[in-house]
Amino acid sequence: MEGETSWFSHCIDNFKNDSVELDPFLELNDKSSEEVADAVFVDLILPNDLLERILACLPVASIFKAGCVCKRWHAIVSSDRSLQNFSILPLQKPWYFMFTSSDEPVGYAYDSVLQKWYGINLPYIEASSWFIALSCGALAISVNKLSHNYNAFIAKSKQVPGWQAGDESVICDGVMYFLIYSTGGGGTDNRHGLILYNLTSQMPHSLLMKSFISAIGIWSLNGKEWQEIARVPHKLFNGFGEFDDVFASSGTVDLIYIQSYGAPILLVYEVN
Amino acid sequence: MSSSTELTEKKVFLLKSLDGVIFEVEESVAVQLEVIRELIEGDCARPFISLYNVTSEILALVIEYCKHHAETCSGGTSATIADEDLKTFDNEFMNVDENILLELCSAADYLDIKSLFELTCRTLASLIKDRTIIEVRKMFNVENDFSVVEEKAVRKEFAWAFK
Repeated sequence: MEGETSWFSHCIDNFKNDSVELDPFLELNDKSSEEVADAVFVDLILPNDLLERILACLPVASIFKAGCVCKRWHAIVSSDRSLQNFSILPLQKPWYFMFTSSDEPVGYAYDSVLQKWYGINLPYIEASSWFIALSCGALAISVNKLSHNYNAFIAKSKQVPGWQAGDESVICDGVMYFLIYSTGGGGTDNRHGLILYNLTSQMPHSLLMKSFISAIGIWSLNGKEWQEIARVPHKLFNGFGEFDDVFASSGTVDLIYIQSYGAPILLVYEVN
Repeated sequence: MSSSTELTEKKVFLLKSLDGVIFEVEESVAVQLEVIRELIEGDCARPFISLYNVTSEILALVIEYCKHHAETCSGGTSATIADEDLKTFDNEFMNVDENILLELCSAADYLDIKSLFELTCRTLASLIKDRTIIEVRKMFNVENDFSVVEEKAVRKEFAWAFK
């Protein structure tokens, strides 16, 4: 297993042979043998699927730690099926991942349930750019160079005078939102705009403008109206924004992560 | 015990444990055991239902759990008070020996009592969480069947989780 490049791809077949299926309650029939059987008793009454359900209630890091208990547990923790089951549980929250180096495939992952950071060395990837999605302990990486098998939508927009395209976009409920910046001249009222493009109906795009205040907040878009949901408290903002005024933010499920590039701070906001 | 069937208007059912002990339970309790629900609804639950996978010790606990949950839910108290009450009860109910917990978990799975199954899974998980690998092995009586080299390799594989 030395030099293995992936976390999950361990051959579980090697360990399968020890999961003998026994009638879990066989020992109970004979009262007198109960003491003798006690040493193996517990393991016997716990078939794999039960153990899997118990382990699934653990925080992600503890699940993997449990894989070090014995071969059977390791096989359960490493199996594709249980990994899928673990990630759909409501007890888990999406993780946040950030690279700590632009050259090396290393970074930190943050578990908001335990409020803990984990240093993670990614398998070596020979590519210059990648996108990371980390959720509930599972990590998906799509690498530009190797990407295939996905549908690309290209929405062409008319040039909007005085505006330039940003490099951020998101697709949500079939609508693509594309961020644009004002090139100046129009005062400071409207420095950001959004282009909306409905992918399903291929409706003509519309332009939304928003003047943002000097604070970090979360707004939701109801139709064409912005509605403020939350604003980062001034106290937090002061410590957060003084190093750099560029932030990265991302959202998955009901968590929004905001990270300052210059400061070692991560803000987590839970919608609802 | 069995004569109470005539005395009360409530339907009662007899559950027989693995070791032959017969428990009398009211319908509101029995229907929480999904595994026998169909038998009850189809009126096939006579004279008693044999539960081959559950000992009397565990069945008594399961019945205690279902009884309390049935009573609390039908007690006419407001939902929030009932919720609080169940939470307190569940916490105390889970304050048992680890082996009992494992047996309860297994029984709840077999009898198909969803809330008890989830409760025991969560409780067992919280016991695992706060322990070292060696303590977990002891708790579950699991033998470490890794070789020294293998264990070193898996610990290295999941090294990030230990930090």
